[in-house]
Amino acid sequence: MAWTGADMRPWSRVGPGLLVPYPACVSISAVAGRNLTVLAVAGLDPRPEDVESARARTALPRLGDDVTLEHHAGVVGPVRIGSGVRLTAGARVWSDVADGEVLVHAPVRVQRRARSTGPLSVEAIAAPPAGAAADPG
Amino acid sequence: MDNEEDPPLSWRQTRELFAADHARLRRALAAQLGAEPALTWLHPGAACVFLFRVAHHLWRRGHRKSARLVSQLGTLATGGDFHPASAFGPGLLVPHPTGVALMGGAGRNLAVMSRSGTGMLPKSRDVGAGMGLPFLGDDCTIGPCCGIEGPQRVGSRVRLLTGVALMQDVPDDHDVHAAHPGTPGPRPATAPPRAASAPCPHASLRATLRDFVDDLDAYEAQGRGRADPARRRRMSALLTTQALALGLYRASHCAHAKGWPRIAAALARLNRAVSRATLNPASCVGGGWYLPHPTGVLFNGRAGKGLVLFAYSIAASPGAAFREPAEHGPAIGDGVVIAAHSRILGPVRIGDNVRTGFSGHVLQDIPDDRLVVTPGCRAVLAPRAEPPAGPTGAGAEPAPRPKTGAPCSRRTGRASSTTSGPAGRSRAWLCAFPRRGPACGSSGPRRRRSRRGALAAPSCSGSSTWRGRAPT
Repeated sequence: MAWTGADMRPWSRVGPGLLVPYPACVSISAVAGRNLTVLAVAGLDPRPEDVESARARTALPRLGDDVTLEHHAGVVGPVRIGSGVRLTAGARVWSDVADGEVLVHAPVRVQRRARSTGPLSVEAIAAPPAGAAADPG
Repeated sequence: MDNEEDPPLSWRQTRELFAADHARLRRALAAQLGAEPALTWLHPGAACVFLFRVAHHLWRRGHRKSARLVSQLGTLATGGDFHPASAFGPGLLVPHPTGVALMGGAGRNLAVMSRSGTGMLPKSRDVGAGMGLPFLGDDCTIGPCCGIEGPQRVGSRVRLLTGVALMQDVPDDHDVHAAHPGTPGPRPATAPPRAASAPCPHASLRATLRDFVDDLDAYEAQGRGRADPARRRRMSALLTTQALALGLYRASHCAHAKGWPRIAAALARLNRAVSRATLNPASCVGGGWYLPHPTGVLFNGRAGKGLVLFAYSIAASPGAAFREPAEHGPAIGDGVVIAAHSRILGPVRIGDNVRTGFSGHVLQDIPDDRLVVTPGCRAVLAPRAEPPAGPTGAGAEPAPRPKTGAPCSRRTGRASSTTSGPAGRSRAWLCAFPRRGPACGSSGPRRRRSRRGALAAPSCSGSSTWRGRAPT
């Protein structure tokens, strides 16, 4: 971690053909098959509530062969990801995924904005998007 | 962040805070590993929190320059970027600090997972941590890939699960998750590469130095109006990880433009090792680049003046190819602000004065003066179903130590995982050494190798190792 920035837990079991081209901020704590590809700032993590228990070592994501995580993709918790699954950039998963699926990120919205007056006046970004009110359910 | 009127901390208070942090980290590692960990002082999660506590102590006593220096040292050593003015209660747990950026305040027992952070927005609201900064209650957990931006008040026992962009207040005892996970769909099409652009002016050393000075000026400009006057000095700017990352990038890009690819590649690799930012030397970026948290940033493309890249942002080609030309990445205009966790992928054109929100996701051309927002990352709150767990910090009853099953043997000391290439084998080898040795009754060279392995393993693999001694 100190040299590359990648955090690969020693209890992870990853098959041959692992490719991590941009290791900074990559975390791998999972059981995976052959030819796993993990791009920049992607990760396979335990659930947050398991980090301080032995389940951090046992409740791992289980991935099949030829799984690809593109930039910013992530898998969290003890879920099963089938073979040949591709998580495109920004796709995050916390439930099971069948073989061969391609998961994509939710679409974004592009809106016009007034020209700002300062270098970092990002008040518009701070405002939650429409419909972002708290949903207690 | 502490207020000006906050009293200075004594060394005893700082020691007690760090003792609580360290005890929590030891308990977490013992639970994960199934045995008592050894040499947790060398774990990056302990080192970054220790340096943060020292920097915070110096900050509260008025030694702002020393505090910033210690903070930058922690960023270089561990990748964790904690502002020294941030005030966190005892029991701070950051098991994977690489790239974690924290600003604001929190109560006891804050846990921050990998690729997460809290940050400031220039708003006038103050919820107790300073203007524009978030404040979290006790026993909060920030899951992987989450961010809290701006002056949000987060209650106690709140858990952010994954991929959440939190920009609203949260009451006590709530779970927060992202609105939409990844959904099945066709793979996004990639635009064809752009035509080769005109050669950049950075083959000239004078132009490279001028742009680097503009980068330092941009850092100082961001410091204007802030409480820290040291930020506005040139020497202060030169001692930051931003100046280190951008200086190495400017040098590597100049070498690339002069036709010295080996020197350019060596400098880029050095930059990746030191600042953990992947900045392709073929990229051409104008002056005034502001890169406050370089760890984890990936850039391969072209950009105009005044680019702002926040933590974990990516502007590159969508694939895994090495040494791709800059024409496979985006072409970004002037004055573009790319927020944390955002990505601009492929040979797209981004106009001037474009900004993205948290986790902005750009795969198409964007005209001038646009804001890109990502509704899929908005936070959805849900009350926690189970009763909240009790505090696990210093004031709480310590968790019972887990019992190990099989007695230590050379076989159990061997790494059980399937290795993943030479790096994985070396990690397993380093982790296996401390597990053999003293606990197995060996002595002499084997014991010395065990100690060296225990010293090297946390730095090389991020994993704390132990000596196989059954906890009592």
